[in-house]
Amino acid sequence: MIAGLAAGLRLAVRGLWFRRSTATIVLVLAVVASAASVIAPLYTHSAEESILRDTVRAANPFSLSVQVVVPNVGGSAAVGPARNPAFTLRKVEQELREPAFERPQQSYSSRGTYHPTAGPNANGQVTGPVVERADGLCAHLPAVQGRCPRAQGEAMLSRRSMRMLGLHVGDTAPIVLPDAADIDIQGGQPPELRMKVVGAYDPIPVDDAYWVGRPYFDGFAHSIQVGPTTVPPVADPAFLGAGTAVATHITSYLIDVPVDPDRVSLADTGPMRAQIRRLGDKLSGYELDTSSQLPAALAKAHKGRDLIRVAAPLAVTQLVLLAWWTLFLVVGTATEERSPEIGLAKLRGLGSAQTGRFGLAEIVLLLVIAGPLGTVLGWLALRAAAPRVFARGTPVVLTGSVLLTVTGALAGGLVTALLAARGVLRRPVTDLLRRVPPRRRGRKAGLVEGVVLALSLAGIAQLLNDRGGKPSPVALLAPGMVAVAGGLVAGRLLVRVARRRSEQALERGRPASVVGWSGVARRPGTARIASVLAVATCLLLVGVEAWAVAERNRHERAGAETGAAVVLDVNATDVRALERVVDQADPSGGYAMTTAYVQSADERPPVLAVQAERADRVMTWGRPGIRPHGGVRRILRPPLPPPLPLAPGQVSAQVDTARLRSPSPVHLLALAASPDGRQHQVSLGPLRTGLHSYTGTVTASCAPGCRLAGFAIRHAGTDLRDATMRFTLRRISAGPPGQLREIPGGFTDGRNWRPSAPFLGGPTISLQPGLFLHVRIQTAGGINVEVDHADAPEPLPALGGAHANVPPHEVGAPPIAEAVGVSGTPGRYLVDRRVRYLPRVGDGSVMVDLDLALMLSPDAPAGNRQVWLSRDDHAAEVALVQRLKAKGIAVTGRHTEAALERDYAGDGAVLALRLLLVCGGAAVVVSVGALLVAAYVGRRQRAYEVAALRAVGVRRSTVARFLVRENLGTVLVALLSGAVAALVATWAVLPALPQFDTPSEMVLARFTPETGTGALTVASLGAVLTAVAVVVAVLQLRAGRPERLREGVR
Amino acid sequence: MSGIPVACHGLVHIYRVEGNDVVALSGVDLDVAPGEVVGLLGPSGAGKSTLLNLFAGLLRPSAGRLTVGDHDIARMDERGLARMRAVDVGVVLQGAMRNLLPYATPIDNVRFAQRGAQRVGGQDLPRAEEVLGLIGLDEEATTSLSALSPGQRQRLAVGVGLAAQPGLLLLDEPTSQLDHEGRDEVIDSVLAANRDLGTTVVAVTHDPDVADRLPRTVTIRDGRVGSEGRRGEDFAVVARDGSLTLPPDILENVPPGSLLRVTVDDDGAVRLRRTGAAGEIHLEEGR
Repeated sequence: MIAGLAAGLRLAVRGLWFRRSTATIVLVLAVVASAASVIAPLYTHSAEESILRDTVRAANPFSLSVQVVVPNVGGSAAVGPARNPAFTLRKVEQELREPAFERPQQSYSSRGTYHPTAGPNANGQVTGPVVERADGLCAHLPAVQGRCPRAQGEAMLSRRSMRMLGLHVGDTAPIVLPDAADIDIQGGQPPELRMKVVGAYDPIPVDDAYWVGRPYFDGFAHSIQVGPTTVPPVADPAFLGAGTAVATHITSYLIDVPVDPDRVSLADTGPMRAQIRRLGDKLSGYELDTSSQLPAALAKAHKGRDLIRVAAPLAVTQLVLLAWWTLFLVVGTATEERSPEIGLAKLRGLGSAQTGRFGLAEIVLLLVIAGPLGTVLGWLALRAAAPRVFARGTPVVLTGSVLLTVTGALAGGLVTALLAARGVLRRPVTDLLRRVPPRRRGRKAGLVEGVVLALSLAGIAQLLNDRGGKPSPVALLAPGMVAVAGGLVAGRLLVRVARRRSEQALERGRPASVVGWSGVARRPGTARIASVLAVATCLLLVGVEAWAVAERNRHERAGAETGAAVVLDVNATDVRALERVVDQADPSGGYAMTTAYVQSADERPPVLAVQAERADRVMTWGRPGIRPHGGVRRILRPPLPPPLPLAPGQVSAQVDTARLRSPSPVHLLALAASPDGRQHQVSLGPLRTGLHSYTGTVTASCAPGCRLAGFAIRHAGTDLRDATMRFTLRRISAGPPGQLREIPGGFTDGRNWRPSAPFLGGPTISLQPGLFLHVRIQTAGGINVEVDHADAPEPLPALGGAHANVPPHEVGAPPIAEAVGVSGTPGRYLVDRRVRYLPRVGDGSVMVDLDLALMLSPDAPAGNRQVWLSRDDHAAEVALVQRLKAKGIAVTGRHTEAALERDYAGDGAVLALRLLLVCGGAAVVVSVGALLVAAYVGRRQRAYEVAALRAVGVRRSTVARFLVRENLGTVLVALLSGAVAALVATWAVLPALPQFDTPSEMVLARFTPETGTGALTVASLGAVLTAVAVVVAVLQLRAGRPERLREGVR
Repeated sequence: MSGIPVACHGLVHIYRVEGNDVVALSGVDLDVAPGEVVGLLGPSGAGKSTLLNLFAGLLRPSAGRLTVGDHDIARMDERGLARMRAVDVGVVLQGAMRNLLPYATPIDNVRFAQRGAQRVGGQDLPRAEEVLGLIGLDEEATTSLSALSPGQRQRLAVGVGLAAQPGLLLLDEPTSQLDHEGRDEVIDSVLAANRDLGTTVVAVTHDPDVADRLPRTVTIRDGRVGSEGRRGEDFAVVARDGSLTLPPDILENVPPGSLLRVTVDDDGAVRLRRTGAAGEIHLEEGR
């Protein structure tokens, strides 16, 4: 038995060596199949791990940590042994055993009240926490004055708190601790701690692991007025020397258990959640609160993991199926090649089992070698790719389930091989020994094609249903099924084309073509290879398209959500100052732009104010076609009259008053506006009938850049009777006293002026433009009337998002939106243009020009200030940041389009798409391998045919031409069929493929195929296959020497 | 194993090609005695190879009876036929390499050919080395096939056919594409096997020199036994149904439809006289 096995093995090894080229390619295919089958579970596991790590790392350390707290309100305390923190610490250490939980850090903490006797809050109250850290304070919070507190009763305060409290190092600071738990010990009186201030610190970032992200220094606040209530100031924590808390009977404490995000792994998540829950349950009995955001963070990662868990195996399943199918075809072809040997076995009377073993021994041997080899290769390949694909430190682990999958794939390969060889093994001996293959019977093939087609249609139908939802497994398998359908069509098509060409060649008397094309039609291997190539083309194209479309969607979304290549958050209080710095840093206006984003507490739409002059060059809109036609500047900065400049001195207006009826005196005022938005009223005196010049003094507060904003009529009368007046503004002059000069463009064009914004019950103002400005006014008493220069338009022209709240307006009336103004007060905007969304702020906002908004807003602007940059240029950014810093403006945050795109690239959906692309690439490798196998295996048959043609006198060049045509015809049919199948699959599949873990509400994903990329892919693949086809033809020609016809040449 | 007989009575075989029936053999009567060496001659397409395939159980008779030893070929299933080929019948196909595993050594080829017999319990199989010795290749037991001469390869093919020591050895054109020397070596090997082992041998050949060395030849013509040759002399054969196939040269004088008068002379000679013609065919009974 063993000797028989050994002999069989030896024969198989010799057979493999004899067919080493075929064997190598079959081995490669089997290795790729095994590698693919191992990559699926490996990739899925690692991708899940990666998503988890990304999520956990992105989370705030404080939110990840586990906090055990004695509720620090109303003098509550832990009960029983938990009054002693050491007991709780032990419990925490006992329960939280996972390695990601780090050493717990305990500190006493209580809220206190100061009653300062000096400083800005003398005789008032200042609240603030007192904290006693168990250890390590001095190493982590450097004293900038004095020293770190070491002894009982010592304390260290922040310098700003000390300024707030009027304290100095060396002072004693009494603080009352109303929430100290052992208040009863003091006879009902809250304990008072007299701290000796031995040092001062400055708040530091709490990103050091020691602080566990606890926001110790965020509570500092000066006194603020909330309605009628004054909220007392809040000081930074006073850090106490060791033993102070106990001595002061403070028993409220907290324990923070940091979590090391780098040590949180998938396997730990379940135990970690369970341990936190158990700890909470146990400590609740001691009146201790246990909280952690870790379970929520883990749940957040769950969605992405869900996608990868469904999508990754299915993507790879397609490749494994393709590999199996290719294996089926290759084994079929290889077994076909061995049919004379199998015939020989039958001729020598070997039984069917013996013949089967003999026929399959070689392939089984290859598969057995390929299994472990592919497993290791897949593992190594993924390990090599992991740093570029997954989050830092993500392991690629060979687990039991992975090995089980490989075993399954191997078993599948064996079954595939058996099925492929079955046809040959069952053939009668005489058929096996024939040199010309028998004609194929097509009934079974037709049945298979029907089933595949039906499944493809079912998949597509399911996909169309799934659009917008979570794709079902059937839908995700659809690309593979469509690819296989395309492959089957390619096989059929090739046979039909070959038959047709053969008939034509017969009619035209071309023996080479007749032999060749009829061979193509008869040889099952050629049709098989066409189908494999078509499947690979389809899978590759779908993978490439899916990736290209997803990449485009990521890019567009990141662009739209960031708003510019780089966005800097700045803490500028004066937006005008910020604008000046930005303008100086980038005088050309193509790099940087100042923005302010103001949100309203009510339902009014938020406002994004941008520098319209720069917006078109700096902003990124994401999706094409969103940016308004003609650009932002044209909408936000329509042509406006130039400002009328004013300077300290005098201003004079010549007014011809035709009618003036008022129960009380009416005063004429000139309105001057400083560049900082403040308005100055210049009294020109009471209005009189007839032509008069009215002159007033412009004070020095009208700094350079000051302009004439308009005129006002102050009418102090009663609202019971209207005042009416009609006058003509003829000219306006300004200048130093005695040197007044007419301001050009004053009233010569009436269109440059506008009445102030109308409101219910307000004045009726009618302007009649002409050579001069004719004004009619009717107004109730007590209401000032303004005629404004139109260099500051009101309402501001604005660009609205699709869902910006613009109330319905009458037909013909301008669409006016009531939104928040840049100063936070209500503003009015003329929103007659809308876009689907506004970059960074979405579809519910309006966008206005910052400069125009500031002209209308004398109040201090509110909202978030940012500087948007058109490109990620390190040197330019550093220069800008230095300029900002020089003006006291700090950059508090930085957002980039590229970083956001990278974030999205870590989504589970993207990891799954990446796998689809890899599968497409691997499919091509497999198919080219199959092509080589088919060419190599069929070479003898072809060589005999070529030799026979040469022997009967057909010229070498004719044979060569035909061989090239035959091979190229196969490739062309395959490429076309694959491309058509890919078009169908892309159309059906792409909209159902998840692009992000969380879809954007702002930027809808686009699924238009990237035709350029697709065409390039087909062209590249076509070039490779053409080269292979030509090389194969050359080899076939060389092998087809007439001498081959002699016996013995193999 | 000693030689086994072959007997066919009225053997008919019809191929079906592209929907048409083609009669390959149309009533062959032939008996081959155990240990006999028979050469099958005849023009291409006469049905020699078909007859050989029928003897090997690779084809089934369409009609008539064919027994190989104790095996009634028409009634056997595939398993039985495989068993018969494993033990009783050795087949050597036309073209030496078609009989050999190209990647295996001569000794492995012989062992491979013995597997079928081993499966069905063939206990007395000769050692592979002995088989190689029989055909004079014992020194080339582990030589690569590509290093063997065409004659050696053909001898090895014969050896493979003899590997299980069958009672019947069937050879299809065993000497085609060989030079004289190679041809003689092969025929010597076959005759030696017949002599030493008693194996019945049926060989298809086109080569008159080969035929001359075989004690009995049967010429198949138009799917029937046309004539037989014994020791260089040709005879017409009377079939079981009494029909007689005349040699082609005589048929030229006796066109189809001719009426022949058959008479037996006193000395036992059978005379065929065409009525209305001068031609006369003379047969001698018992020769």
